[in-house]
Amino acid sequence: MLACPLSWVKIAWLMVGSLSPTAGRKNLYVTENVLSLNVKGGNDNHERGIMMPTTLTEPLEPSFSLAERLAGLTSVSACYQCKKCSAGCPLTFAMDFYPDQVIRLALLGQEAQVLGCRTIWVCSSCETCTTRCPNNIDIAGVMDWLKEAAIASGQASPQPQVTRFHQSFLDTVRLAGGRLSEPLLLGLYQWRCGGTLGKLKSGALVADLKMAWELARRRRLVPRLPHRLKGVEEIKAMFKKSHLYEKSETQEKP
Amino acid sequence: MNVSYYPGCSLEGTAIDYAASIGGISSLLDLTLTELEDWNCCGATAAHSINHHLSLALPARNLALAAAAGRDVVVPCALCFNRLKVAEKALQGPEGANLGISYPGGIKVWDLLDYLTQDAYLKDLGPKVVRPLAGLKAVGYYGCMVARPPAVTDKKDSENPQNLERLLKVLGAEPLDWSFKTDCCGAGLAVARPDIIDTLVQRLYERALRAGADCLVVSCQMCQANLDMPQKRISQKFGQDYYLPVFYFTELMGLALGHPDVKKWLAGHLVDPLPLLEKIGFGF
Repeated sequence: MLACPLSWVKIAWLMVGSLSPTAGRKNLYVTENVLSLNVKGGNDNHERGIMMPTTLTEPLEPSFSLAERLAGLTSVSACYQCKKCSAGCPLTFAMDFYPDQVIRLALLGQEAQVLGCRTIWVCSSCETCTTRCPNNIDIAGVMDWLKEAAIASGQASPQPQVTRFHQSFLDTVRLAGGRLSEPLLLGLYQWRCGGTLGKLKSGALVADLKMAWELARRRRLVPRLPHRLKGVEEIKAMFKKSHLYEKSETQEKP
Repeated sequence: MNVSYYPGCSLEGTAIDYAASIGGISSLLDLTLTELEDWNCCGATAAHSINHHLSLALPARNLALAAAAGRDVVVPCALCFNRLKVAEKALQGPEGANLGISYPGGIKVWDLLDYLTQDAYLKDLGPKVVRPLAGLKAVGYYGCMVARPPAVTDKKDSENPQNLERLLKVLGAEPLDWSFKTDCCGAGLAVARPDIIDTLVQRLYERALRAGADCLVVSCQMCQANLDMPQKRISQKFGQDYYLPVFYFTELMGLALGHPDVKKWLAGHLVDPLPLLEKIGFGF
C-alpha cells in the first residue's frame, strides 16, 4: 500500500470531500452555459421531502438584471463560492437549494428558480450567513428581498404556511391598530390555513388547543381588545405607503 | 438611572411573565424604566420578510418617540432590539428620507441584558445577592438577534458573547461553556413549521445536556417560548425524557436578590423549574 502514494492521495481527497459541508449534497456549477444540478442524496437523518430531480441539466442563459436590481441591497457578484454561508446555516436540512446556490442562481439571473424555491421561506433569518460572509454579501437580506419579490410576482408560495403566517402577522398589526394581538394573529392564521377537518383528524388541532389552554391558564394568552394607538393614523399611512402590502393582501386566498 | 423602555408586543402577551420579572428586578436595582408612550409593533420577522418599507418605518416611529423622550431606550426583546437597530442605521443612511420620519439621534438603543451587565451594574449587583445560586449548572443561550449581524447590532463578540456568563457568575451560578449559544432555535417558524423547530431545538437540548447543564438561561422571550413550550412534544418525538427548565436571566436575578414574586413568575413556564430549584436547595 505504501508503494501506491497516489491511492493515499486519493483516499485523503475522498476523506476531505466527505467532511466538507456540501459533501453528498447538491453540486451546482456552470460549464459552457449549462447549469448542472446534481443531487446525490444526502446522508442527513432529516426529512428531505421535496427534492430536486436527480440530475437536471438545462441550457442556461445568464441574465444580470436580477443582480442589478439586488445591487441596491448588496453585491451578489462579489460571491466567490466559498460556501461558508451554507456551512454555517442551521436550516439546510429543510432547504431545496443551499444559500450559496441561491446566491449563485441570483447572480446568473435564474429568477424563476430563486423566486420559486423553498429555501427563501424556510430561512429563519438568523443572520449567520450575513455575519460570516467574507465578501460582506447580505445573504439573509437577499432571502428577504426574494420573498418580497416572489409575492409581488404573484406566484404560489412553495411554503404557503410560512407566507400566510407573515401576511397574517402584518394584517393583525394593521387591524389591531398598531400593536400585535397574539390571539388575533393565531385565529387569523388558523382561519386562513383552513383544513380544520384534516387537522382534527390528525390530532394537530387538539394539540394546538391544548397548548392554547396551557398558556391561557398561565395568563399568557388572554383574549382582549387590542390596544389602539393614538398614532393609529401614522401606522395606517405606513401600510398605505407600502404598495406591496396591498398587492399581497388582494392575492392572498387560502 | 432613568431610561426609556420599549417592551414590544409579546411582553404584553405570551411573555407577560418576562415583563413581570423585569419590573420586579428593576425595583431592586437603581433603575427606573419609563415605558415609551404610544409605542407600536416593530414589524418583527414578518415585516422584514415580506415588506421592506414596513420593516423600517414601523421601528423608525418608535425611535422617533424615544428620541423625543430624550433618554436611551432599553429593549428586552431580542427581535425588537434588532429591528430598532436596523431602523437606526437606515434612518442615518440613504433610505432614511423615504421613511417620512425625522429622527435626530442622540440616544442609544440598548439590549436589556447588555444594559444590566455593564460593569457598574455588575459591581453593584454582587453585594445585593442574598441567595447565591450555588449548584445551578446553566448554559447561557443568546439566540440570534441580539448579536447578529454585528454591522447592525454593534456587538464586538457576536460569535461568543459573554454577558450571561458574567452575570451568572455574579449570581453564584455555574455557567458552562458550549458552542451553541448563538445557534438559531428557529422561533420565527414555530407556528408555520413546528417540525423544523423540533429538529433545531432538540439539537440544542442535546448540546446543553452534553455540556453538563441542568437548565438554559435566555435573554430573548422568543427563545424562551421556543425552548420551553414544545419540550414535551420534542421529548415524545425523539423518545427522550428531556427536563431542561428555561429561565429568563431576570428571573434568576430576582431569585438571587430575594425578590418575593419569583415563584409567581416561574409559574408561567411550561417546564416547571421548581423541582430543579428544590434539588439545589431552593425551597419556596
